[in-house]
Parts: sequence; C-alpha cells; structure tokens
Amino acid sequence: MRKRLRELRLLFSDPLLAFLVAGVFAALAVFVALPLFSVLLKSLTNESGDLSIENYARFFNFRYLRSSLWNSLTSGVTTAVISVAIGYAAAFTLTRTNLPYKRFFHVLFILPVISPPFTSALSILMLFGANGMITKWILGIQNFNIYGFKGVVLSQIFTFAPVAYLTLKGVLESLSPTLEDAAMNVGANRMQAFLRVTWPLSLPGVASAFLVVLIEALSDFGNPLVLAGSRFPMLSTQAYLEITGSFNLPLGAALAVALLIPSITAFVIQRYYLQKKQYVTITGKPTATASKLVSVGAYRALFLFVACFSLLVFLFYGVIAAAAVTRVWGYDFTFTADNFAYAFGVGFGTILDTLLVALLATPVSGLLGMFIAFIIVRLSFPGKGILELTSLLNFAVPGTVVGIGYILAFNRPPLLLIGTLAILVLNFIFRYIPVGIQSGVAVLRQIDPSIEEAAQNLGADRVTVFRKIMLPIVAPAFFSGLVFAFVRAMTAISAAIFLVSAKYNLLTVQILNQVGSGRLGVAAAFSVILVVIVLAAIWIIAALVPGHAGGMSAITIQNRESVG
Amino acid sequence: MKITIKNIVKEFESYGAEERRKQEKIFRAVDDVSFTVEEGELVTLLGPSGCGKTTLLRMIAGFEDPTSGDILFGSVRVNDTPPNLRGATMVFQSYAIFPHLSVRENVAFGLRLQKLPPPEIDARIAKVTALVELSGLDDRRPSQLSGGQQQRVALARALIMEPQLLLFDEPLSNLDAKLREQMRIDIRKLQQRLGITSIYVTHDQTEAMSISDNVIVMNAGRLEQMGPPAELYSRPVNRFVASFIGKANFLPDPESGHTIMVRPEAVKLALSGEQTDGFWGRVTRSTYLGGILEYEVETKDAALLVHEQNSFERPPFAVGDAVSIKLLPSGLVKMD
Repeated sequence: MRKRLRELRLLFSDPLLAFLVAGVFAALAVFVALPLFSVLLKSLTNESGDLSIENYARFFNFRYLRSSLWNSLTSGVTTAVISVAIGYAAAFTLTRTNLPYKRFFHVLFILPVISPPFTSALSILMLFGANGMITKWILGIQNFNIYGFKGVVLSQIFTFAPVAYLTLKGVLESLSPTLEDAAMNVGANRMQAFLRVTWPLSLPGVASAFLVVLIEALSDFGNPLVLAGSRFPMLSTQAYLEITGSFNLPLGAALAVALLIPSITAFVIQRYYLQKKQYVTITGKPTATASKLVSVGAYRALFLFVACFSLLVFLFYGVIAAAAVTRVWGYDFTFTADNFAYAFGVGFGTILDTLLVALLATPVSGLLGMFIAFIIVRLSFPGKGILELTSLLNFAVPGTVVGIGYILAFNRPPLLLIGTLAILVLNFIFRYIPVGIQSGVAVLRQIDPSIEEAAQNLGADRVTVFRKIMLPIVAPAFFSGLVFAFVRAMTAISAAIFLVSAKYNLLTVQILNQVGSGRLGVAAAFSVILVVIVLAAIWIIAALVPGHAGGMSAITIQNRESVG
Repeated sequence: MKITIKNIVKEFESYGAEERRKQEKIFRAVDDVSFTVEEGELVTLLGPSGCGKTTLLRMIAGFEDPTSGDILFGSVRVNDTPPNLRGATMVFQSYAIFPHLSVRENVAFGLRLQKLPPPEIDARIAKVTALVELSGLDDRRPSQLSGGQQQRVALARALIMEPQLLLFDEPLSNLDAKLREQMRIDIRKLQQRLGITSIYVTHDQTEAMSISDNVIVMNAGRLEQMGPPAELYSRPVNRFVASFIGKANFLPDPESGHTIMVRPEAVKLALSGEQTDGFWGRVTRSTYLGGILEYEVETKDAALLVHEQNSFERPPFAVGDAVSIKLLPSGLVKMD
C-alpha cells in the first residue's frame, strides 16, 4: 500500500504525464473493457431483459447451436494442424536449404497475409464451386458441393498457413544450425539429428503456431460466411445471423461468449506458458553455409513442395484477377471491363470510406500503442498489470465479439455512436493498438534507461523525453507497426460488418455483399482494387522510411512480434 | 591417428556487397593448404579472422566439402564420409550444448545413438565427467551452467566418444581471461594424458604457443608457416608470421639489401658514454610494464621497439636519454 502511494505521488509529480496515463485508462475502459462486459451481460439476459441463463441452456436443447460450437472447434483444429505442417515445411526449406530466390518465395508465401482473409474463399468458389473452373469445366462434375467442412478448412488453410509459416520461420532462424552439426559430429545421421535436436527444440514454437492459427481460425468470419453453407453452422457466422437475421441480441451474445472461451484459453496458454519455453540458441557468429542436415533427396522433395504451394498462390490470385475481367464466371468467359466500371460506380464512396477509416485509425493507433508501450516499460504505477492485459486483450478476442460489444455498448446516449464514422475508426484504433504496443515494448526494452536519465538530467520532463528521445528511437518499429495496422484495417471484416451503415461502408463488407448476391466478378474486381491499394500503401511507406522498417519486411516483423 | 591434408582448396560463391562491387564471384576461403598431423600431436591453426582456419576445420569435421584436395585419416580418404561417420568429434566455439537436454543427456547423446547398454554408458559418463571435473552436475540444465561449465560439458560430450581425432573451434573465446588460462592448461594436460590427435583453431597467439606441438600460421586462405612454437618465434619465414606472433622490428641490412627482423628482447640498450659502438638512438617512449620495461628508441633511420627485463638495479631509461644500441647476433633473422 505504501509502495502504491509512493508510485502515485511520483507519477503526479509530472501532472501532464499523470493526466495522459489516466486518459489511457479511461479510453481502454470505455473502448475495450466496456464492450466485452456488455456482451457478457447481454448473454445473461433473456429477451424481456431479465437476468437469466436461458441462452446458454439453449445450447443443450438446440442441435444447430451445439453443432456450431463443435463445427468451429473441429474445423479450427484441422486447419491449425495442416497449416502448421505446411508452415513448418516451408519455414524449414527457407532456413535450412540453399533454395534459390528465397526472397521471392518468402513474399509469395506471405501474400495471403496482406489480402482480405476471405480472398481464398472467393477463389475456391470460382475453382471448385458448382460452376467452378476445375470441378465443372475441367473435371465435368455437375453441381459439386464445396460448401461445409472441406470448403471452410481448405480456404482457412490457404489463409492461415502463411501465419504459421512466419511464426515458425522465426523459430527455426533462432535455432543455431551448429546444434545440428554437433549432433552429427557425435554420430547422429540426418534423421536422428532432426528428430532428436531440431524437432524437440522447435516444439514450443510449433505449439505456439498451432494455437495462434487456432485463435485466428476460430475468429475467422469471412471464410465461414462464404463457404460454410446452411448445413454447417459455425459460431462466428451464427452469432452474426442471430443478430442481423433474427434480431436476437441475447442469443447472439451468448454465441459470441462461447467463441470467446476457447480463444482466450488458447491465447493465455500461448502467451504465458509457451512463450517462456522457447529456445533461442543463436550465439556468436552465424555460419552462413548450408546445413548438411538436408540430403539431396529431401531437398528435392522440399523444393517440389515449395514450388507446388507457390503455384497454388498464383492460381488463387490469378483466378481472382481473371474473374475481375470476365463477363460471367462459369458461363461466359469473355473479357469485360464492366465489373470495374460497376465497382467504381457503385462502390467509389465505399473505397473512399475504407481509405478514410484506415488513414484516420492507423496513426492514432500507432501513437497510442507506442505511448502505452512507453508507460508499460518505463513507469510504475498501480494497475499497470491490468492496463497491459486490457490493451493486449484484443489480440485474442474474436472480431465478432468486439463487433457485437460495440453495438451493445454504444447504442444510446451519451455514447450513441452507431451509424457514425467514429465507431468504425474507434474500433480499428483499439483493435490494432496491441501491434504498436508489442513492437514498442520490444524496442524500448533494448534501450538503456540511462539514455532517458541523461535527457532528464539535462532538463527534459517525462513527456518531452517520450517525444524527443523515445519516439525517434522507436520510429522504425513505429512505422512497421503502421504498415501492419493499415493492412489489417483495410482487410478486416469480422467486427466491422456489425458497425457499417448505409452511410459508411467498407470494401471488405462490400465484397461479401457482392458474393452474397452472386456477383462474383464484381467481388473479384473489388478484391483486386483492395489488394492494389494495400500494396501501394506498403510501397509508399517503404519508400518514405529508410531501412527495413517499411515494406514487406514490416509484415514479417510485425507478424512475428504479434504472435511469437 | 595421423591426419594428412593435401592441397585443400575451398571456394565459396560470394554474396557480400564488398565482393560484388569488386566483381569477384568466387571467394577462395582456403587456398591450396597441405600439412600432416602426427599421431598424438596437437596442432593449432592460427590466424586473423577470415583467414580460413575455421573453414578448414569444418572441412576436416565434414561440415563443408572441399572444392578440391584430399583429407586423409590414417590412410583412408574421408572426403566423401558424412560427418557422423568420421569419428572426429568437435568442441564448438558456441559450445552447441543441446538446450533441451540435461548435462548427462548431452554427454550421453552420442553413446545413446550407438545403442550401447545403459551400464556401459553410465560407466563412461562417470569416467569422462570425472576427467573434465564436471561430477555432480548431471541433472542440471544447460541454462543453469556457467560459461566454464558449459565448456566442460562440450568437452565431455566430444571426449566420451573416444575419438580418433579431436577438433577445437576457438573453444575458449567466450570465457573470461583467468578461466581461459586455466582451461587451456587443463585441455593440454588432458590431451597429452589421453594421447588424442588434436587440431585446435584460435586467433590468440599466446593460446597457440602455450598449447601446441606445432603451430600453423594462416593468412588469407594460405598456409604461411608450420613449426613448433619456438621455431615460429625465433625463425619466422616472413613479415606476416613475424608480426603476427609476438612483436618485431624490421631493419634494412645495408650490406645485402635484405630486411632483417629482430625481436624487441634481442635489442640491448646502454646509456651512451658507458658503451661506445657507433649505433645509437634517443628514447622517445618509456613504459613501465612491471616485469618488463618497454621503450621506443628513435635512430637516424628507424624506430625500434625494445623490451628489457626489469632488473631493479638501476632506474629505467627516461625519455630523451641517448642510448647506444646493440643487436644480439643470434636474434637476427633475414627476411625475404
């Protein structure tokens, strides 16, 4: 208690700083904690507004509710297992062999990370749907049914294997190949060296990648909405349909809570247990030459695998680009510019809205993230642990839950925000601050506190220290955080779909609407526009920021920091 | 086991910006090196960083393939033998202790692979841990060990295989100065007691001198000179070897036109007036190092570095003193 008081007194000796810290607390309470609390509360009320557990009781009575939980879990676990296998093979190939054009393959592998998370769902519809290029035109199957488990899992693997790849690449890079040399040096053959050294050492990373993909797959909204179909209900889409279709907010909230529990569990295991178990064994000078771990035969197999996956990426994106300039996909393959004309005609406002929201939210989110990182690393005050947890919470909370929380929390004065631009911007700001916090904390922990002390010693107050010393030092991390947050804001769907309105719409929602009404060509055209904007933004920031902070490496760095 | 290295060349395709600018696509890390190591000998590869010594060691271990040349273990050519079948175990610079295994599991790693009966493994672990003074740490994790203890685990893991050849890749470079001196004495004692043929890589000339039967000095991929420590110090074949091992003065020989090398301790000074020999200079720096007094003396055509044993019988020469200079004839080496 004494210590707390002393900390408080110290904090208030710098009034501006104390005011800012209090502001951060208030903002996190309103825009992170309140929505979550609203969802919890709503799930515990019945339709007449009284406290009750009847929504949860329904799980046991209604088959489709039970099966949506079961379907989400089984497809999530399947996706995670296969994604990790693919990600491991790809990461192993890029870190342990002399594969040519490594950089090219790396960029290709992470392309799905910068696309809207349901781009692959669109490709799959066009390749394997009832009128799919492969199923109907090449294999001649009539009315092939891609919907359900196989469609969702296939699409999610394509979307999330790159996430597993990025995590595992970081893990394998931090394991020194000298350890494999040492194993072979005392008599291990290649297989034994891999099974007894490389594999057990990367196991915590593998488990971590598994949980990260599981969290993402459980919260995934776009792929299930396009590919689950009516006979394969899943939690995130079912919650959405309860709210927008049946206007049953309490049941929707209860489904969201059911989704929240496995996600939070996975997040806690990943962050507080696995991260401490990871081995980092890079010491001294790296040996630049190729490892003897991979035999010629194994190298050929890995190369074949990498080549196949790359072809798949080309195929998936090629189909989207082709569909964007095709009259009616599946029936009439003649060239047309109509889709783009339609997209720009109907959707120009949407394109502007999307850019506006992303451009407003990203810098605020980045600055706020850095500031929170600064106060987490450098200040001590009561409630710091709670502040850190709250600010990181949005990593694990599925967007569906956040979206429902926002419509519940901000639907009446004094916080009547529904239908405004502000609700979209605020949602994105608080959804992506963890990115800024993570990279900020990582950089700040490496800065010697005496640098700050020197500045204070020369007369700077704490806020000036943050502005003049810390910000310039963390600038590279800050900018790479911006790229990542911008990409995420441009491609997000799960929370945003609850918050768009007739006045303010987003590209991702627009794409899903077009898919829903069967205009695949227009959806493809919107997707192309979106990917072009994202690539242009990455390119512009890379050009403005020297070094490796901008560009594609930002995606790599940020992903690594945010997940592992 | 006798080791023969015959005309070994190792070329890398260079990716560095420096080499690309110079348009050199191929970088020759090891350039036509040949030597032999006799049974039971410890030979050191000594040279500045980037001279190819570690690459050469890694080729002997089997982690790199030579571009050309032969590596013979006894009379067997091992170029195409994979690293796990060479029977030449290595102590790595980074120790390369398996972080997920205990001390005991680390040391037993190689024997477990051979599927030896557990009692024999236990006996050999006990023997080798006693040998490297590591007893009692069996169940520790590598993260709980000090640098010196990790070093001993790495040594035990290599020794337990009873190798025909023991390889050391700068094993002491991560230890502090005191421990480094102790470890190098221990390693040399152990190597002589067990009589294991050994090749040792270092960039530290004191380490090389104190531990080796023979030292090989390398520079820019080439073998400059091989010989016992005393021979390298007293009879270096060129300027590089002379200045890499110890300190050296180079003087022009007015008679032959050759360069003469003389070590700082082979230069004798006396205050002018006590001795009159014609060759004299003035002291420009006088440094008191304790056991040794170091001077810089400027003559009319050279600056000489001089070491004098501290005799405590008279005060050191001061800056500005005029001194006569005498070079010990047995300490003069003619350079090419």
